[in-house]
Amino acid sequence: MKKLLTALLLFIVFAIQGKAQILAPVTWSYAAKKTSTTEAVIFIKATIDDGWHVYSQFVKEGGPVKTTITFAPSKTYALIGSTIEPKPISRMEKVFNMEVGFFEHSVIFQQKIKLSAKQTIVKGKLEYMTCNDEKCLPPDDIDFSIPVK
Amino acid sequence: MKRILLMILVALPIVGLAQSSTFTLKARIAGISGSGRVYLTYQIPGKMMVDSALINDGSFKFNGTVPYPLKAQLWMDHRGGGITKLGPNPDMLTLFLDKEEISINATDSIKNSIITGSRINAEYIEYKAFIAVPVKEMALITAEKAAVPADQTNDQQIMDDLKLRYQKAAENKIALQYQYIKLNPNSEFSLGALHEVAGPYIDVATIEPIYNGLSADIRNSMSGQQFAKSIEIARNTAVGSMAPVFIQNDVDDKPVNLIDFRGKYVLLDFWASWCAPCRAENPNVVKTYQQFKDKNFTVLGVSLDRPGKKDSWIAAIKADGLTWTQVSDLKFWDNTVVKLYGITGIPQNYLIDPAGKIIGKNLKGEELERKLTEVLSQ
Repeated sequence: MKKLLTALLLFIVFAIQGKAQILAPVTWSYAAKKTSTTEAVIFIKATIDDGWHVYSQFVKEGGPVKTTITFAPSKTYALIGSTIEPKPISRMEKVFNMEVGFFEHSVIFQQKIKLSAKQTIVKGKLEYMTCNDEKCLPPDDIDFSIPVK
Repeated sequence: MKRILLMILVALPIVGLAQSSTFTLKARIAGISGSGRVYLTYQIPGKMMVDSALINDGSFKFNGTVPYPLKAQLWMDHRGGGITKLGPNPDMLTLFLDKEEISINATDSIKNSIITGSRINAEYIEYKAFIAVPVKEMALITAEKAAVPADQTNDQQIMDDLKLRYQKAAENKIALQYQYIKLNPNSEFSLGALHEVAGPYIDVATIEPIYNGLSADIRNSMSGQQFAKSIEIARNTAVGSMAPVFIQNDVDDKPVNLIDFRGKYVLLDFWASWCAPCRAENPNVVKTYQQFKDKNFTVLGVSLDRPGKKDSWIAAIKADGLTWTQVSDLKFWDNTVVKLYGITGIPQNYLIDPAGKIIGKNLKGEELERKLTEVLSQ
């Protein structure tokens, strides 16, 4: 009973807080692909409007907010290595006095996993920031749950 | 306990469920023979959705529920390699999902398809065409800027010229967006465009009448109501209202109270070490501070730096030479002052007079200097 109540409350909070801006500059999607019976790759993709940036996972301290993908620990899979990304556009940002890696238009992050069950659901959380030349917008923290079959 | 549950169950449809709509998407791609797969991706609050369908004799269909009209992408997998092997230039169509049935017709690629039967998608095409000229111009200038050779990025003439041209295109886009809103009071994209032109710093006097000119359907939609709420928050921080007061700690963890700044003109400046556009504006704030600091003016910086990142905050203060008082609770966008002022984008600032009244906001570049010269010479 208490659990149900909590779930309902969470749902309501969620429904209200979700930002319903139809022209949000960044949208995310995912995919999973089994590469063998015991391995799979998780893909997390950002589609980015013209002029907006999403930052690399490897932005150094003192720069913009990097993209961070966190996978929830599970008995049914284990991560192999870290999350890889394509080579970002790198630009010397005078304001940060450093090279900053970012993506425009689209980017796909990939995570290899080792499976210890025939199928599983890979859960986790995505943090990112998007800026254009004029401003930075509050990020949506996004939970994902990706079926691997 | 049971009573609470009942109350929630009764309230539930009002807060969300009642507004969700079921969509149907039907497509016919004439030139496709054999089988293949197509993917539909979209985001509902806090969650990514990926759906796929088999192409059967050139046709496919999707069903689903969305909490409000939203943007989606349709991806065509021509080679049958899966969504992960679509290559750098995938055959993709951006479209919008709502309660209406969507029909898609194409000859070979989804990119060049024709969408019928759906008002929201027709409106999107119209809206995009309406603002296409400046949008294209802005993309061109951005590309041009990125292509400036490294040894010329210090050439003020070149950079200023690019900036000026960009600003002009951006202003042109905003003018067209206002025009679109006026012509299409019942379009989702009028609300979307209003969201964009209003920006993080809603000027209630300008924006509210335009919002009120939108159709009741749009105003009562979930995003319409959210926007109304943003206007309410903006009203509290509108020019002419008293600046909401707060206490937050400075870099030495000593509490700083906005009320203690009464008697002085103070620029309340929202920024963060990680925010490139903010850092780019900092030299200008420094210049203004130097110019007016002995004339009953000061700056109070509020930083949206992140938990555990005090070092980055302090390093940026030092690097940019910000000698005025700085506060932060290191809670990123959940900073209590950010919530209090309803800020949804940075940089952002408020000019507060000696009585604690807001007399200006979002003053960038020379605007700030002009405004200060005006008020301090009185």
